[in-house]
Amino acid sequence: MKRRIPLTITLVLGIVMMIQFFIPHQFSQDFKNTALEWLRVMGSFAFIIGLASFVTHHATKIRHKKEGWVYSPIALGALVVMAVVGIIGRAPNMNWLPVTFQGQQISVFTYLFANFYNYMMVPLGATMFSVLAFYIASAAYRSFRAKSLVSILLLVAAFIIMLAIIFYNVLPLGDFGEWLLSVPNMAAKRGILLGASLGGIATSLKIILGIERGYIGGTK
Amino acid sequence: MNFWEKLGKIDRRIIYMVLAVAVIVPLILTVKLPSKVRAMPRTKNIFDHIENIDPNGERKAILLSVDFDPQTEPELKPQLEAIIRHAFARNIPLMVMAIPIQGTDIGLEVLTRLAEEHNKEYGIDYVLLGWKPSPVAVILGMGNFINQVFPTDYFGTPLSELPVMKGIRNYDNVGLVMDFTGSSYYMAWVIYAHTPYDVPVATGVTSVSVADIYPFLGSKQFVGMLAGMKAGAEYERLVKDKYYPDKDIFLRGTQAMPALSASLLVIILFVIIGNISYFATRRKK
Amino acid sequence: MKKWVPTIIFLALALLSILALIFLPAFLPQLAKNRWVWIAAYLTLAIFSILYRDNPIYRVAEHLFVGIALGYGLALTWWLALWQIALQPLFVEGRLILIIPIAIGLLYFTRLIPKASWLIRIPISITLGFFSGVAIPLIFQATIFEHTKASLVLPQMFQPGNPWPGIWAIVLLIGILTTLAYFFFSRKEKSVLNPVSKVGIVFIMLGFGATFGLTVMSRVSLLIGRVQFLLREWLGIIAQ
Repeated sequence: MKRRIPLTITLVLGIVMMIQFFIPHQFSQDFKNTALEWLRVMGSFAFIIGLASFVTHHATKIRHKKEGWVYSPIALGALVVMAVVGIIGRAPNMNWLPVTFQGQQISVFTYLFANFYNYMMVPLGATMFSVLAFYIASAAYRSFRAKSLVSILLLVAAFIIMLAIIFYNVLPLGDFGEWLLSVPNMAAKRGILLGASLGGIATSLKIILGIERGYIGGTK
Repeated sequence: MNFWEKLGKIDRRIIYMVLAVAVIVPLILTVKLPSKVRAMPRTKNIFDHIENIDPNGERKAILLSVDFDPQTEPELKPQLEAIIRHAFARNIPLMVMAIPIQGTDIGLEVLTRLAEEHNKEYGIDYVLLGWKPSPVAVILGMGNFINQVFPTDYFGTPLSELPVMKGIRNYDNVGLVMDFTGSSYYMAWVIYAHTPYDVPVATGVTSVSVADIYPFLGSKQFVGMLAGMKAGAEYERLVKDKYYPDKDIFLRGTQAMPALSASLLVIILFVIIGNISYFATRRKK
Repeated sequence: MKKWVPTIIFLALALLSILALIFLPAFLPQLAKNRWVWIAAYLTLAIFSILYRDNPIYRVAEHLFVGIALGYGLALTWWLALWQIALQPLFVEGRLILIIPIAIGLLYFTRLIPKASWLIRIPISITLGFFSGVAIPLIFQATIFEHTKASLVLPQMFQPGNPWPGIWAIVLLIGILTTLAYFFFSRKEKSVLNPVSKVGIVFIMLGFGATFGLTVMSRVSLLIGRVQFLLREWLGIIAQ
């Protein structure tokens, strides 16, 4: 029962929406548009899954004093502060505890939310990704070896693209790089795209038909 | 360990330092802007398409989707700024939204700053639609009625009260949908906007995705593609040269090009050194 | 005494950083006057410290980011989603029909109640079933049909003075077919001796090589962005 209902819902809705695509009648379109609106409303509540996982993970770490547990209060504290400041600060016409900022009177919560975002969240996130540049340089140096024909092809293609970027004003190299992307690369990527799309369609069918049941969890 | 072996085992921190120097030095030294920028066809196609949008016709608006987060800002923000400047120069009604939630504040910051620079008014020349959950439902829903997906704008004002939204019901009134993404949201726009509703779609992506998008350029499902920081610099230049030749605009992408070239050369050099060491030590064995 | 040395160095650096943040902009005018920029710069350097080795400063910054990002998402989800499209239409505008999707959406919260947690499968199955059904015909059209159409070699590609578009279209078609052959044959025979697969792997390696080169460019661009911030907005070394 606990498994049958979700699987039946998936089957019915999946088949209905596949058929709906081919029916231009107004009723069919209205059904689709209403369903889309309801799904957006339902989707508003999905955040709880991520939130619950996050809080459970860090709370467990603190409770059992696992490795790195001293940092978990920082993560939880930051979550609470940012959420509270944001929910209050982004309210329409919010003016609790006003401060002057750029000539305007705004709530301290609004002020803090904007600055936490611009001067803490943005630089932290951006820097985490930028560290990858160093890792890719080190990894390329250590492991990019021309050991076989296959790896030589990889190396040559990578070099052509990088040199085409550096010397893009030198015509032949730029055009050759463009040819590399438009012909051999496009051929490979299109082949992969076709294969992956067939795989994606197969997976969607498996979900609808109930062959793929991972989304309903274990054996409960 | 002899010299050739040492060459293949340089400490990673030395590599990091050399790369850091290759990035910092060209940025500090002021480099003259090239007088002519050779825009790739995939970039120029977007420029020409926007040039052909009639701000008073049926397909009059541009919809921009800021589908990136601060992690990929350096590559995508120059592109976003350049497109917004182009839309402002042509007085095309602009709608800006986001699929991932972090895109909203990026869009807000860029729009606010550029609107002030170009004397554009919120609600009259542009609107920030904001974010709504369930990406596929959002993209599909706008094919029917944008107001149903976004009943209000980001600030809570009903869309029906904003003059910029007059005459814009759904994708039939949109001349170009352009998404800027560091992941694969461009696929969602092709599959759920372009395919069912035939709205012209273009994309600005980080360089990682460029090679994967070529099939879509070949099949003409994308009008064009802005590929990374370099394309941002190309587009910045195209817009500045045509509409703002005398205006002092900070061209973020253009300033970074010398540093990009230097660091790529450094990485190529390290790969060559690694291979020299490999071949030299392999021969000895 | 030796074990206190790292702590003392850290505290000294922390004190110097705070003093620099408070007093330096007054003495060196090109430095950022906005103290929030200093906080952003310090957090940037804290993340970069991982390049030397894993350390507590990096871990603090990392956990701070994770918490702030989730809190940010929560705050905006509340206003832009829960309030604007669920609660406001229901309670303020009186659209009672929305009780149905709101009730189903509330089932997500049964994740927190172990005995009733199976109910979370209902909104998940609705979402998955609906979007799987919608996706299948659209993905077929957008990828299989459009890209098969685009792969065709047509007579008009061979113009009298310029046969190259046609020639490259043939090369493209060979590449697509051999790439697909590589993926199919490598499953069954586990041998790359098959000549068709061998041709396929040439195209695949050229494609992946191009992707690698572009990935390097992408990552370096992100690094340049951060360095631009440090040199422009914080230290004022390069022009604004």
